[in-house]
Amino acid sequence: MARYIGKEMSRVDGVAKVTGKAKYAAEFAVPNVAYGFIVNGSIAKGAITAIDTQEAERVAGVIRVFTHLNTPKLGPKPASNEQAPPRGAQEEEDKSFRALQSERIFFNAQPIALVIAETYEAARFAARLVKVTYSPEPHVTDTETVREGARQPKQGPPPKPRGNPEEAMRNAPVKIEAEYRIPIEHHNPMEPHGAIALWQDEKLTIFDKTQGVYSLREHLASTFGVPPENVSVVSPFVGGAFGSSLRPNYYPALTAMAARELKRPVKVVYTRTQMYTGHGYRPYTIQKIALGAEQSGKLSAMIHEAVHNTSATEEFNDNTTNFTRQVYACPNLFAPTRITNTDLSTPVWMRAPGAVSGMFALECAMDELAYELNIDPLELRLINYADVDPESGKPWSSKALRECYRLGAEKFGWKDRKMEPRSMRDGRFLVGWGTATGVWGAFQRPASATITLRANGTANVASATSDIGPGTYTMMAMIAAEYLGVKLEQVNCELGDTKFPRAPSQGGSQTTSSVGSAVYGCALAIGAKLLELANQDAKSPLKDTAADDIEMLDGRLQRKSDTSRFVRIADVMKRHRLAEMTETHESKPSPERQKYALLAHGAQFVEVKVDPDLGTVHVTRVNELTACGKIINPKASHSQEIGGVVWGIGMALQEATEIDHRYGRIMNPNLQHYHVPVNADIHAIETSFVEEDDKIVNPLGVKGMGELGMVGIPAAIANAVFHATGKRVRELPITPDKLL
Amino acid sequence: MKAFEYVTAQTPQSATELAAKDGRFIAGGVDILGEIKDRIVEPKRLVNVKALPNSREIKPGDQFWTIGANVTVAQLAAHGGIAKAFPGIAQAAAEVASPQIRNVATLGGNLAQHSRCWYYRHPDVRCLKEGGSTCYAREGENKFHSLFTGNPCISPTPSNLGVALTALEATAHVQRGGKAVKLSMRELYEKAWSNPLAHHSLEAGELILHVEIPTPKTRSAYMQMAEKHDFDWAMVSCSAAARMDGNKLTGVRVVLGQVAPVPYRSDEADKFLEGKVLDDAVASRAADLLLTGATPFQHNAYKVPLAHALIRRTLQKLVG
Repeated sequence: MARYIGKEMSRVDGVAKVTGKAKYAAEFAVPNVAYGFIVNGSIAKGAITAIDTQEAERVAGVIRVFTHLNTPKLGPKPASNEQAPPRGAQEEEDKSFRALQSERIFFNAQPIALVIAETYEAARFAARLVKVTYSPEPHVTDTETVREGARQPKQGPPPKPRGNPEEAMRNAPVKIEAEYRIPIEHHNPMEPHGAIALWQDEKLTIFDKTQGVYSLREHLASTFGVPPENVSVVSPFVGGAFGSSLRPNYYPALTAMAARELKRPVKVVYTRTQMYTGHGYRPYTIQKIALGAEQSGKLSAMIHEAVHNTSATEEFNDNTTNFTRQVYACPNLFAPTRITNTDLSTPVWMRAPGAVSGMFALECAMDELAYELNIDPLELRLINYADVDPESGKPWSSKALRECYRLGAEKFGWKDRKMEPRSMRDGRFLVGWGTATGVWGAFQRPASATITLRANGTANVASATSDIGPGTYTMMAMIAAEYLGVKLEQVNCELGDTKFPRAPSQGGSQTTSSVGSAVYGCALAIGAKLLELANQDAKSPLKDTAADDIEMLDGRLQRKSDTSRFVRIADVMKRHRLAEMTETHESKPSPERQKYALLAHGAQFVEVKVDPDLGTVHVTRVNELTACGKIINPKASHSQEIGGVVWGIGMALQEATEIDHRYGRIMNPNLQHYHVPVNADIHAIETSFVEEDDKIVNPLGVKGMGELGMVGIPAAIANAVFHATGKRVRELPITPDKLL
Repeated sequence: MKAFEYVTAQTPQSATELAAKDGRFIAGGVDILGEIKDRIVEPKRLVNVKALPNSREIKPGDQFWTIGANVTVAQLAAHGGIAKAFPGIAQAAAEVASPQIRNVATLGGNLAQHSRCWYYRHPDVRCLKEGGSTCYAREGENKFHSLFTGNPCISPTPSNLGVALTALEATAHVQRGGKAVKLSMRELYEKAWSNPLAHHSLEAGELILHVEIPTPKTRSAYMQMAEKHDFDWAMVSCSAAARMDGNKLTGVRVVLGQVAPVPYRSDEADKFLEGKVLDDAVASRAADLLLTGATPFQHNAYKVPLAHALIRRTLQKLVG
């Protein structure tokens, strides 16, 4: 019956993207724009004692050089209408770093000046002429050295133990204990972050690369002390973000500040190098895990303690150990995440934040336990399968993980695996097979959308969500077309603008569940309105039809249970002299959700081939099985999962931000030395969905999937490398130097 | 942007004169534009050498081949004759960067490129190689640095082609002070061994015109290993070239890249291989000899076993 939902659809914005018609933030043509270039500091901690901008100011075309000495004080401050701004996606106080506010230096490459000029080239050249002297202070950027001082973060659940983990651990007949490390990693989206800001009186318009237009609006309103409705954010296309545009970065406020002071539009775009200190990163994470089990393999105790870094200015917590509570049935558990200050910029969410880090450690530890017990690693996971949520005791709204394990093992050929490490070979290569579990939430947030249906059958859909790449435009169009009963090409979608109804930031894999549900709700509202209008006619064939028994299809409003009873939508609208009708709907998570535990799951099976002489690892085969409710668009969804696997391969084998801790300086802030996979690193990847029919999560039955795809991959690869080589590498990335 | 002059040289003589003072050559621009952006150099004049006569020619010959300095790395990788006569060059060229970079990068630029050390390239760091007082890599992040050096700087030479051409005992024809001189590959790089400021032996305004490769060595091979399987700098590279006298090796040259400020070879290893039939033990012994005296730093000890394996593999590839 479905004409679009569940069918492979190409992106509705695909042609615009590949032909250059899609406009990204820094590409908007704004008359009279001036160009800003950020000057970055070169010490990790201390104070600016003098800053000399004279030479920079003398460069032809330079308009002004902003430093902490001539930059107005920026918020956070209450809006001038004395209404506290409503909370955005981040339910925490906005203590984000705002540039040029004092002489203090909190991290290396901190912005210390902004040069504004008539051309980008003049600004960039003048930027290097700004002379600074510092009074440096001792700094710490190595998380290892401040691990002991780690503290419980203010945000996030308290580390309440379940049962009596310490005693259970003491009594466990089989136990393993190990430490795992993840380096700092950076997102590296293709599009560099950038903004163009312009003020008209007290109203700000900003074109920005952001994952949440409303979140940015509130940040800027509080920064400048203007009412939120005075700030318009425009962000129709985002060239990848992965969390790097989720929390407020410093450049939009800086850009808007300069535009306000100069009474002129200003554009600022990061260089690739500036991105490494301009938007956060996955924190450096140390995890200690102890697992205790019966001889049967049944887990009796889990202690999973994570420490990761945050900055000196802001508390960030990625909740590393969060999902550990819900993955396996175990009566005794302690899983705190603590944070510790470093003199680096603040970390931020990065694809599958917390989950991929925590599951790397947990799923490697499960593999170590499997070897300690001499039980097949997949079997060990089945032995500890959580049939209900171990944390709350609630039933799952749906959970097809067991089927993922079964189908994945079958597709991969897991039964032919020999348990013994170094027991499988292909010529000179050592072959290893590894598995791991993936998990992510099935989040939903309040979201609004609006649909305008015209008498000619075309429709416009709008919501202030973002599309950072997963295919949100297409998803919105498919849902609207499906439930309005029109053709996909009759639907136009708009997003990424505060002029549209409020939607949550695009992060946490919750857009389809939230915004998709809102679009669905709008379509139903239009149907209900049409029914009401139709039934104002005494002869309506839809008299006495229940609101949930109607549907729209090919220009008809018809009874689902008897499609011979219908009215033509165009006729109804004409009769009521309506050229178009508009409905706005806010969808909210249902109270029913509270009665259940809601998660998305996955299982990964990975083959590696390791050259023992060279220490190189090739991930030759991946089977990824995903259970995340209903799949709206299989084409975009497979693309998400494949992308997740590729990122997981990068995280497992290549990605690391190298810091010279003597200076707190990132040594590889570029794509020449920060390694992300290229095509030659990627071999066979098969992604499969085990669909779940879940009536609880949301009306569409969808769960988060964009982040899920990478969650288990680093652990599965590390486990496969152990199987191939007999060597347990507990510190990512698994580069050749660690295997030689 | 800082203003600079851009001129196109028509003759080698004028090119060197134009570049001698405050100027730099530009062909593909891969290296020089990066250095300008990273604030390492601020040339007052960029001298375009792409128009120099005969600089894009690949000329086969009975005694030697001549390859113009402006031949692109992509051409070297795709040239059927080179793949047959000097497979080591074709293989080294194919491993350079990405297709886009290979399409503009030139032979001359690849040979004369500057250090890729991340301290040298960092805009906020003035290291020994830039005229500062300290090699920050020695006690710092030195995962990708040298095992051998004759000076306090431990940044390695990044050129793939320099390694392959050293194995083939090529000569570089260089425009120097009004005349063309011939430099062996050793001479082309030896200054970088002892002088921390040097990337090679060329002075400002000296320009590689073409390279001559003698033909007697009928076999050559190149291999490298990087963290990514493409589009990455090698952690270690190796090239070997030789003739075969029956199944015996003769005239062998085995060269390592990314382990020293010059393409690194040793007389002992090459002499040991002379007249040998290659087997695992011989290859392993040659690798031992070539790696004698390797001095790893905190983060690059892995390069020793990696280089050892690559030497063995490259020799096998050479005879195989």
